[in-house]
Amino acid sequence: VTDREQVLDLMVRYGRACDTKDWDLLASCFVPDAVIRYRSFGEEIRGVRALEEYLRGALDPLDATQHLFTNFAYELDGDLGRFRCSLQAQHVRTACAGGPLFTVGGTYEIDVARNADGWRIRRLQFEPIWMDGNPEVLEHIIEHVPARA
Amino acid sequence: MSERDDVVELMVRYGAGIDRKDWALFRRCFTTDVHAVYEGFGEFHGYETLEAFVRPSVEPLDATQHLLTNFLVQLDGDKATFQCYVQAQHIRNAAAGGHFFTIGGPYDNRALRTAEGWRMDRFHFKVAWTSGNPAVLHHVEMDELVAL
Repeated sequence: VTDREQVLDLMVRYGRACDTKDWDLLASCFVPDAVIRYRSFGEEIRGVRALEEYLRGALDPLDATQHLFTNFAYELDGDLGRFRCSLQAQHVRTACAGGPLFTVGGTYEIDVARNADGWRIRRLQFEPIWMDGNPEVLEHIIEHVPARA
Repeated sequence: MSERDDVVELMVRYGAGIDRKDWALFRRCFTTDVHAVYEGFGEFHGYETLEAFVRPSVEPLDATQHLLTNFLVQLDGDKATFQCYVQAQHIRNAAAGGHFFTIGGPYDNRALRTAEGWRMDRFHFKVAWTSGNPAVLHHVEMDELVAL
């Protein structure tokens, strides 16, 4: 298994952890003092415990999510590296007035490092590009509702 | 090509089999005794039973597109368990109320290395979300839960 494949697997496990609310799996994707920022969805998050707390608050009210990752581009160098990938994330809250779906598309920029347990995320930054559907689905975390078409 | 790539390609052939309505290609993705579950749609024992569901579901459509991402492959000798995600677009131009019906969700599958290459013998799809007009699939029996 190549380094690129291991880093790709890391990101897929991160998405799976969010979509199945598997917090042990989530923690296994990061170094303990990782720094995370989801732009438009809150302030910088420091540490994997704070990340778990944030994501529980964000995802527990939802009935389902699906984080689709594609367009990976890597710059790996020894035990350090960074990569970018594209996201299309679907968020589902069935009982939400105004529609059950809110879709977010954007880009991740991620710094990774290899330790004894394999590759881990050190820094994760998400930049949204577009949103579609009913923003009320994420009203508990969204900072500003994008203009409606 | 690595064995991981072989397993990913198997699933890409599955998607292409449906999107091109190429049932010979679709057949080559499965063992004859495959056990397949599409949650909300049905459970199928054996390839012929599976094709008897998928083919009449897809044939009336003008087009489909199965976008497959987020592969995780665990190899164990001649066995591979794997997960991936799909976002599947279904198009029927004559459908009243809109042409599109989109389904997203995870697959949890297993493939075996056979004399004819990798084939799936366990197949499990779960619907995470749908959007658009469920009447695009008016000819397919599905649980109400599938159409949000």
